[in-house]
Amino acid sequence: MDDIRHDELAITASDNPRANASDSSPKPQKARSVEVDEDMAWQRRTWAVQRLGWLVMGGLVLIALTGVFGHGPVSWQQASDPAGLVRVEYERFERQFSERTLRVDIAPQATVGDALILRLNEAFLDAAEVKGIVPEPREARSVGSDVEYVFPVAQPGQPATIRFALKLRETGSHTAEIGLVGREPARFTQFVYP
Amino acid sequence: MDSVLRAAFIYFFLLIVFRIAGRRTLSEMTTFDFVLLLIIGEATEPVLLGDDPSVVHAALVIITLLFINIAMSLIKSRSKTMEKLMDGVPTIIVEHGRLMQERMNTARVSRDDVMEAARRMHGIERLEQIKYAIVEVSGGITIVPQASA
Repeated sequence: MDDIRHDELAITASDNPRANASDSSPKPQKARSVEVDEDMAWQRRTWAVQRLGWLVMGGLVLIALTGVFGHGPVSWQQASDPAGLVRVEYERFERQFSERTLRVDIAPQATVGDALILRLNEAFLDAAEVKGIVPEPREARSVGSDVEYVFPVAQPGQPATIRFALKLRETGSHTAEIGLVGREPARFTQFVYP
Repeated sequence: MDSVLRAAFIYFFLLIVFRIAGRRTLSEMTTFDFVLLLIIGEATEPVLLGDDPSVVHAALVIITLLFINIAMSLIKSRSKTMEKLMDGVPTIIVEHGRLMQERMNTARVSRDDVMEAARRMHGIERLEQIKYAIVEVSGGITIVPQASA
């Protein structure tokens, strides 16, 4: 009984005109003697889906190279405050638990006093854990839910750079605000992938 | 971007290193070969993942590795030269019951390896019963028995 069933299957598969349309191999004249549970129509569908999958994979690899999934040219962005005193180099797309450095450049006009005060907003600090700051701030204080970092100014009237070592904690989108105290901050939006 | 570059680097690095090491290295796995394979995997892992344990990163690394592998297999199926370059070629080491000693030495195959494969696959007892023994590109030994044996 079993043999008959397989033979019938083989006939069904090879008699399917659509399945054989692109098959250049010689058509079997009659049922094969080998006991194989073959289903060429199904196999062809599987192959088609696989080829589609390869294209999708190749597309994803190319998209990843541009940086849409983070850490690439599309993702590398800069933001400035309206006065042009603070320039932040950030990643548009981040990934959860990855450690990144955020670079903040301060224009010479802003380093006039003996202290430089940077203010980071709540949304940003919720999403990113500050693992370290170079240079170390003299003081960190909370203002409401925001945090102000006070940095000593060594060379007044010279540009300064502050680097934040961050670890991204929360997935999803957030809008960060980093600015000098009493001024409009630099705003940028980051998306954190899981 | 770095996910793709890291994965691609590791893929081609391992491809080259294992081609240089030769095919007998991991094909007939002894316990120690298996341990070695695990250690190689452990050593590769931080290079692939770095300090980024996110889901997206892991997914990109996996997709990149598989995609390069598919692309390579497509290239190999179209180019004989690339296939030779990446997989090597099969080598006959026994012909009509006669050992080809010089080839066996360089392929690091002993008479015992041949006889083991012969026993395992065909229940062959003597060397004369073997028509051909071939070291395949996968690293295994295949045996063609004498027809009249």
